[in-house]
Amino acid sequence: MSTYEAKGAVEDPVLQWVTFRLDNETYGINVMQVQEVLRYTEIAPVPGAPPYVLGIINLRGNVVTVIDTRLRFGLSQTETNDQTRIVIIETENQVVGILVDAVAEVVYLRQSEIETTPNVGNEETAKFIQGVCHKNEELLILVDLEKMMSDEEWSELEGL
Amino acid sequence: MSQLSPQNKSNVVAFKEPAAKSDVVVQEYMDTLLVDLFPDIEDETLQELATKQEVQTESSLDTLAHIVASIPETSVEDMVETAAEVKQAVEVETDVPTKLDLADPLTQVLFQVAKLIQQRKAGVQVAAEPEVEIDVAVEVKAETETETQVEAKTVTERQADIKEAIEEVVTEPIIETAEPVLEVAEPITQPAEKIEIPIAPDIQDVTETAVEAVPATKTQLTYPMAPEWAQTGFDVLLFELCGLKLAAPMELLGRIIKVKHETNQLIGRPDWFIGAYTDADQHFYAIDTAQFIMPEQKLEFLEENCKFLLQLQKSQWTLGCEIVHSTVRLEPDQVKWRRQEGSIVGTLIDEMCGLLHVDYLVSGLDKEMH
Repeated sequence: MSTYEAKGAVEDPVLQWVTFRLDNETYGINVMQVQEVLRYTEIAPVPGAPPYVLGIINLRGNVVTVIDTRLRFGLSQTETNDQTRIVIIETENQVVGILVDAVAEVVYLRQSEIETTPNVGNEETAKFIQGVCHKNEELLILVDLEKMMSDEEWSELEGL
Repeated sequence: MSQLSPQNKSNVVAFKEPAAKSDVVVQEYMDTLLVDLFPDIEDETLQELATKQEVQTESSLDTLAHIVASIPETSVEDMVETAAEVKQAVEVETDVPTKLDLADPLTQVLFQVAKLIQQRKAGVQVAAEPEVEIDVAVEVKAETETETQVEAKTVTERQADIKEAIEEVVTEPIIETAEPVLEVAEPITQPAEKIEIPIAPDIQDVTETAVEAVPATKTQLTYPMAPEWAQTGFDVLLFELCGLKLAAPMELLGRIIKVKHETNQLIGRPDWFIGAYTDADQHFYAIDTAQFIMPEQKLEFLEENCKFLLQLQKSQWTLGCEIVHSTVRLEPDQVKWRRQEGSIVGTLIDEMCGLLHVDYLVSGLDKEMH
């Protein structure tokens, strides 16, 4: 790589994004936030938990709270299937799981390829949408999961 | 003029410890006694004392020296006799009435002598050597003499020696040790004033908040998040209803009742209230556990599926359930304890189910029913 190319790489970094599907939309989250992806497993309901909490799972001796991502994104409920996955993400405060319809692939996007479109999504999702990207004739919605919930909600999850 | 005039009384040695045990010590001992007496006796009294003696002496000092010298020679142990014996010896010499008159200067002298002898008796260490007969005293300066035999002396010669020794001692400064003055502190009768320490508004607010958030007792527990009954190993009962698995601490459960008949419906009760149940002449209230604990799940718990009733503590409240699994022994670190208080006190990590907060449930049920 030439100096000019290297300088360009620094100014326009390439980021990796893990994409997943909810309903008919494709979302992407920064690979640095993803710890692992699990097949769907039995989620134990937790009494007294917020409505967007599906329950808990046992991940190698650790209790991980699973979030109903569809409910959080304002989407309707659906049945689970073989494609359903639990994506374990690691936020600044804790480790939680998000239930998604399916996990697609890891894509490489340059910063310059990401567009900021505040009008994408509903009022709820607009809070944590970082931007969008047109990749392979498909709209990829990039989200910041840390902003998916407020600090109070994260604290409530931590107390479960 | 007496060497111990009022002007130089301060030069008198108040007390002098005896040296080695020898015939010289006896003389020094008695010499010192004489010296000790003088600080308490006025010159005038000494003059009176002198006039009472048969022996005409130049001073009262001579008088006392004569008295002491007249005492039969004996060992140190014998010298420190009781006050009565000394007094008797002196009385013989001076014809002093046996009746002690404290106003009498001579009596005062006798008392002093007796007192000092008693003090010496308490302080003198009795040597292991047998009693040694002390002949006529060797001079104080005998340390420099090479002769070993003690030379006998007459009474008059002894008096002179004593006088000389006293005069030498007199020049030494007096060492007086003040008696400690013990003052008894007056008891405090008045109660201490109540001092009110003003609390800064900021500190008070923080304190109140802290008390609400973290009770003082929890900070002293090994597992602050866990209740007191869960600080060490504890048993839980696993049960299930409507596909929901729950656990309850055995310590806080009463009877486990097997449902044998229908409950009695009561009018005007909440939706989570199944009915009243009687068993063994005891009356209980059956609760729809899913409806009461997780109303948001909208689990449909049919009474016909209610097979067991779990009594909470010793109360009338019972939780209906479908299946009673088993009991499990747990350690505090096997539970993820919740911070916020509610129906669930924690989550069992291995069993992946909630652990009921029985105390919270009972209090909540009581509030609902009243």
